[in-house]
Amino acid sequence: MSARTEYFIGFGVIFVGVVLMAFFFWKSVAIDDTREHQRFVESIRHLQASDAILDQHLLRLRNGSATSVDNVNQELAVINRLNAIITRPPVYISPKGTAILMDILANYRLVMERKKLLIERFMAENANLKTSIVYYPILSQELITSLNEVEKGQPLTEKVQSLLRDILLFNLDTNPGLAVSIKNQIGRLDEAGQTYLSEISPTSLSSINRIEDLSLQGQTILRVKPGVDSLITELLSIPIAVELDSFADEYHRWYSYALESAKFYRFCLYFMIVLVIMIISWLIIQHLNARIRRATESIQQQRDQLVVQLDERKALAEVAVAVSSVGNLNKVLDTILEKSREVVNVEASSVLLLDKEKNDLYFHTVQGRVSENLKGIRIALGQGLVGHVAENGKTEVVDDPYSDPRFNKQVDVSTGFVTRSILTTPLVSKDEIIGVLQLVNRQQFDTFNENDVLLIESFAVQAGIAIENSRLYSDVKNYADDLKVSLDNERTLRVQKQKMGAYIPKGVVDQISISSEEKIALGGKVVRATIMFSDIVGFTRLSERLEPEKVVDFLNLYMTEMSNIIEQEGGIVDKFIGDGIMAVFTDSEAEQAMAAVQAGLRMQAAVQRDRESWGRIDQDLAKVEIRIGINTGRVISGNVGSEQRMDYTVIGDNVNVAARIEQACNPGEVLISLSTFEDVKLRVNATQMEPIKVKNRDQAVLTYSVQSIAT
Amino acid sequence: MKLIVTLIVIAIAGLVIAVSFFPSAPETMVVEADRSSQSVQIIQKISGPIQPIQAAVGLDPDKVSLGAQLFSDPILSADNTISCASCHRLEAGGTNGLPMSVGITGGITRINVPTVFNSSLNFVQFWDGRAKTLEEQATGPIENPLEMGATWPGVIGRLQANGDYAKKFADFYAEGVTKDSVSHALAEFQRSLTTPNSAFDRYLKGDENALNEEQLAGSKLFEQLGCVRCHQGQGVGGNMFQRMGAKKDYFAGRDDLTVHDMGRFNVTGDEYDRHRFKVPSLRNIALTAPYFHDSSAATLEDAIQTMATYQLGRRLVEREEQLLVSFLESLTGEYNGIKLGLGKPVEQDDQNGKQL
Repeated sequence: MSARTEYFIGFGVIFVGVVLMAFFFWKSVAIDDTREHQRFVESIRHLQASDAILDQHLLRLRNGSATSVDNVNQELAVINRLNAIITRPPVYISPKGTAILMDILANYRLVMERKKLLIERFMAENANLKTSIVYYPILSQELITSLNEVEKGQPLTEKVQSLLRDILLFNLDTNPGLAVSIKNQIGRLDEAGQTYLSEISPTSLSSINRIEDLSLQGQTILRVKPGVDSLITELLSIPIAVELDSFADEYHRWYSYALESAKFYRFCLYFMIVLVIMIISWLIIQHLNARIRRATESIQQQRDQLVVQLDERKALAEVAVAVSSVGNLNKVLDTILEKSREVVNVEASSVLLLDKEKNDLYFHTVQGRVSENLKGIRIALGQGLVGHVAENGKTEVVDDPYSDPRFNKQVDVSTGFVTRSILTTPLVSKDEIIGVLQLVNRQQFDTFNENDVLLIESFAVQAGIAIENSRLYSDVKNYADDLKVSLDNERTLRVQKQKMGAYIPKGVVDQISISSEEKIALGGKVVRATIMFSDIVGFTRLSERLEPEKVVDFLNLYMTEMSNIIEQEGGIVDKFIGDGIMAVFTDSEAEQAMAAVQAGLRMQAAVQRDRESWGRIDQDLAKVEIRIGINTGRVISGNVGSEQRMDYTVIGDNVNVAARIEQACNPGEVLISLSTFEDVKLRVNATQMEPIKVKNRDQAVLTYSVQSIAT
Repeated sequence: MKLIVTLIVIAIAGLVIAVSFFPSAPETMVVEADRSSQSVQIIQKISGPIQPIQAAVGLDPDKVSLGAQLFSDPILSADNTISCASCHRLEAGGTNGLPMSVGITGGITRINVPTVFNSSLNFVQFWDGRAKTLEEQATGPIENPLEMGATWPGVIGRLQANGDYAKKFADFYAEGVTKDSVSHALAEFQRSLTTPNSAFDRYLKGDENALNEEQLAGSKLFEQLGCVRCHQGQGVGGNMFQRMGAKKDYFAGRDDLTVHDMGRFNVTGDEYDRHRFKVPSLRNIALTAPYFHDSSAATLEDAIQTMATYQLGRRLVEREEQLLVSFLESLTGEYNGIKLGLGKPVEQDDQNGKQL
């Protein structure tokens, strides 16, 4: 459900709610018309009271304590007025209740009409009766008085008196037997009156008239009184009060019902109010929520961007570190590709370098699924996307490579790779395109975005630097190697020149030395040196037996081998003396002795190893053995000789001692003096030999035979 | 933010509106001195059967005057010849002094014309009580073909055509000229036709000298004889029905009975009501001869004798008759402060005289 629909529904509910609220409000306030209720209840009560008052008036008329019927009429008028009021129940009484009330009211009216009729008759009959009852005793008295004046009037008088008594009694009593008795008495009195009085005297006419009148009044009483009695009885028994009570009860019932419904409507009203408020609050919350959500989303986005940027920075930093730590170019490019894939998240990535000679591009480093297949593929400049970029030097992003004419489908076909998107950027070094960096198939999205391009371009710059660095490094290394080689050559040349010096005229030597910075100077200095002498045992005798060519061949082999060993150990071959060799070790004073010993041991080992091969020159040469003597001490070094002929050599007593030790050495051994031993004793296994008596020295020289290097 | 401010404003506005609906404290009830109940007190003090007439109160003077105008205007009759006042002549005790009434085309209604004075004291109207109210009564003679012979549409049309009436009705009645408003105006006028301050009323109110010896004796006799059993109340009658001939049959042996002699029977159809009539008021009785529904008594003396014979079953001596006449004469009251029957001598109406 969209937010728009929600708002729509919300406002719809509010509208309906407000309409219902108005309805419920209208319904619930109807009951609040308390005056109407009071007026109605008052009318009913008044009506009940009026009915009682009416009955009271009627009773007073009946018992003679009142004569005027105005009160009765007034009360009836009041009842009529009240009737008109209760005909219209208050509006809050429901239609059903109104109908029921009207039913009761109709009953009441029916009864009331009857009562009015009875009242009308009662008033007439009662007035008539009262006149007779009041007049009867007077008339009786008058009759008795007139009868007393007449003879034989006595029996009649008694009759009249008896009748008067009965009439008065009848008026107060309801005995039906009395009525019959009175009727009979009236009949007898009339009869007696006619019989006796008419005979007696004409003067008693007034008495006869009075008897007639008495009879009339008596009969009236007899006729009217029961009617009045029954009228008043019926009047008082008319169920007006019952009807009014039931009307009042019914009204109260329906009033309670109206109150209850009003309560219900009020409850509904409150409910609707709460509902509307809730919906409004909900809409507000919804509104705020949407804003919060938008804010959160933007924060999240920014955070993600920051994370990405941080990753990119880190990757860039790592790349920068990789680039700056001059090392293997392959490793650096691998790192760059790896990081670029990490940051941009692509399926495959590669670096192609430009081969200037062939004017094409080749895959230098490839990462991704089909990396192996790509090695060896070469792409001509200007061909395919890669060639295009390498030519133009502009970054290209292609989302749908298959529809780009520059795209070379051939690579996909041959590797089975499906290319969906490509980012290609040139690698530039010193304003010169040296290759391209290519990323294929952006993973998360369909295409590369601007940020990717910027990032990869910066990677490309790094890669360019790395490649440049690598080239510089290899150049420097080559220079260094060259320098080393030329320095080696120089030294060799110098040594050779020195060696050559013995045979070559001065002019040539000078010629040779021109390039050397070292000036050959006369004079010398005292240095500590280790001097080694070697000599082939019985070579003089052997050489006499051998042909001279063989001797030279052997010596060349032998000398070359030995010289190499000596030089390798840091020594300098001072001179060859026939088959003997004099070598000087002048390098670091601490190590020179050890170097000499090592050279000696190696020379012995070399002889042991090589003499079989020498046997091929001559049989006797297979048994060749050498003696080696070594001494360490202070000597004078310098160029010794004439202007034309000069040897760079060492001279001194210690040189002689070394020669002496060599002579004393057993074949196949290395004999060293005490001074040499002192420098190497901790590192070699040696046996002390007999001391040697040396010319010009008082003390015999202590000697040691060295077996091996201590392990 | 804007939304919240709006809501707060709405809430405050709602509260302010709600406060204006707050119920105001009930006002202290002003207990009005009810003068009418005061006068009721007076009535009750006078506990005798006859009460003095109360002056008519609560009447609308405009409507009364409009009713008075209508009352004496022949516009209500079909041919514009007679008015209410033609028969109910105020200067002649509110009746015509004839045994019958004469209508527009000389139509004669052979029933005694009751007086309009104190007609508001009657509990019902007409001899047979067929009208419960004065309003109801007012429409009777207007529509009666023998009397004014008019129809309501005709009356209303004529009244509306009359600018004066049209304006007055428009002013006094929301509904304008209608049957109800016309009859109400007439009834309102009749309600003003009370005649208080008769000698006997003054006596009842405490004026010992209001009655002379004969009148005082007559009033006592009136009670003793039992006349007062029917003729009582403010109207001295006019508040109940009674059979004409309560003791003796008044109509016995008569072969000229008309429908008017049937009395209330004509209204109810009940045999009990045959010959039963509204007891007429005795107020101003000295001025309203002839008497009875059939106008059979030309003088008060005749009427007294008839009543004594048929209603009381008595024989009156001449002295008693004189005393009663004296008493009845003391019941003549005042209208507009002038005693009835004194202002102008009783004159015969031209038209009525001609008809006779």
